[in-house]
Amino acid sequence: MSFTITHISPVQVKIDVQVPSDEVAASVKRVLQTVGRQARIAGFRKGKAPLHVIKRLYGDRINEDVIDDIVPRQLGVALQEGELYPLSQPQFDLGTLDESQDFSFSATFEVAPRLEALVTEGVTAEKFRLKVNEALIDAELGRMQSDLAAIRDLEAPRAVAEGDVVRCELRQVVDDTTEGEPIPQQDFTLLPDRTPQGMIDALVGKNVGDKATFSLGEGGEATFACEILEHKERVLPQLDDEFAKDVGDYETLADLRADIEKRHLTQMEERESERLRTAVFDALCEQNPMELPPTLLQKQVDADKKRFASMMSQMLRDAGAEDDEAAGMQRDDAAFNERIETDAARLVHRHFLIEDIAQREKLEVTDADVDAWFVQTAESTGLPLPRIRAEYGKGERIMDLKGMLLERKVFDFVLPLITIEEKDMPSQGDANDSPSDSPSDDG
Amino acid sequence: MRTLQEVIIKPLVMTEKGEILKENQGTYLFKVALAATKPEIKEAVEKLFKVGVTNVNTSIVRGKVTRMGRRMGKRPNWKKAMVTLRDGDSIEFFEGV
Repeated sequence: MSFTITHISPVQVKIDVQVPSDEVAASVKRVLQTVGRQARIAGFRKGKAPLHVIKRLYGDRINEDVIDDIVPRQLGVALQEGELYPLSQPQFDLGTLDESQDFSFSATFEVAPRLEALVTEGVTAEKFRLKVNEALIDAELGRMQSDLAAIRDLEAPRAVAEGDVVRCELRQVVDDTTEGEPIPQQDFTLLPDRTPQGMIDALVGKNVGDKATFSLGEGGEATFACEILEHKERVLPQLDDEFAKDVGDYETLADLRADIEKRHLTQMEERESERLRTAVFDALCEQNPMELPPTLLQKQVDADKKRFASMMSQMLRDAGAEDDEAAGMQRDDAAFNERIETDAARLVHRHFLIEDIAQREKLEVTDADVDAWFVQTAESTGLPLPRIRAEYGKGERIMDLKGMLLERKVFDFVLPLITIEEKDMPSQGDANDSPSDSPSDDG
Repeated sequence: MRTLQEVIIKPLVMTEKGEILKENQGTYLFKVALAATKPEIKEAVEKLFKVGVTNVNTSIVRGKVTRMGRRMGKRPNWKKAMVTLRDGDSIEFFEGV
């Protein structure tokens, strides 16, 4: 068997394969034997008919089977010898099959693009110096204080204020005037994260025995009448060393502050690491343009669109839409398509760039790397190691995991080669925002 | 006097046993006239197919008893000739089958 490889474009390859007649004859014999084993022919027991009889009776079918036998077998050998890895289904151009002559065919398919040389010169990325804002720690301490607040009776009656606790009797207002059955009494802490803002606004300034009405829902779908039955106040604990001892295994308030700072810093480091990785690969992609295989790109676009549609349907269902309405949620406008295509191209480009660098520098993910990740994840999550192994150690998840570990290896390799500009974080809020990857972020 | 075509009624092709005889011994099977003799069969094969015949064996194949509803019947007996050719000879007709 001989073959020639023609590069039609950086991502499209044509391979012409010549199969000698003896291999064709061997294949014909192989196929005839296979067919003969199953063929029922009058005058012969099953499987006993001679090959020439089978050939005469099943001539056309034999030819098709011979091609099915020869082409994948010979193409497989040619691809292996030529070190080609098709990314798309090959398009075949088949010659005429004649047992006594050489058989030739060609296959055209897409392959991964390769860089001539990796360009790292001029590639820059910003790295933020991480610092936990004191206000962030204060806010968390405030939340802890609020959680541990004591509730006590008022020393003297006064109007309800935000942060107080009130016991109310609620009734839903039907048809603007009629009040429904009372809802069992319950206590409400008038804080935005615990009680709807509309209710807080309605009750602040009122006294025990007063009535108020408020509406909930964006369009005021439900209106309630509320009577204040009891009014108590919350007393926040002092922020001191005793408070620190109460909330955990800390000796002083400074220890507690240090622990909060450490936790925030860890989270920020994880986010910054992800942001930096994205920024580095985006910058590398910009300096190392590649022609992307159209079929693969289209597959990515289709997958992204499908994921987006499914996400929108789920959101609509969660919001109470009918199944039919939710299922019909599709976007197909030009801006949306352009955004999806840009994101898909970025993802595919990044994937091929990582593959190229890994291949060029012989970077591989070993079983030891995977094991190390399992151990590290088990330690950081507190989950048992066998469970982590069982969950991530097979099927698509192990492939995804290996992809992620390879990306990290490539990142570690390229980081010293590019220019990293260290900068202060723009602001705590900005640094905490994850980079937008999903088209849904602005969709 | 029977003509050659009256002696050889038809060649028997496409049977497992016939294939084995042909491949191993160069023996070809024919359905022949019930009254045909071995010399007549030899002469007919030699002249019709332009080959040399070294041996002719014959047998009468008894017709099968058949039934059509309540009526019983019998297919006619027929004669099978096993003709062995000279080494190197073959009958083109059989090869193409």
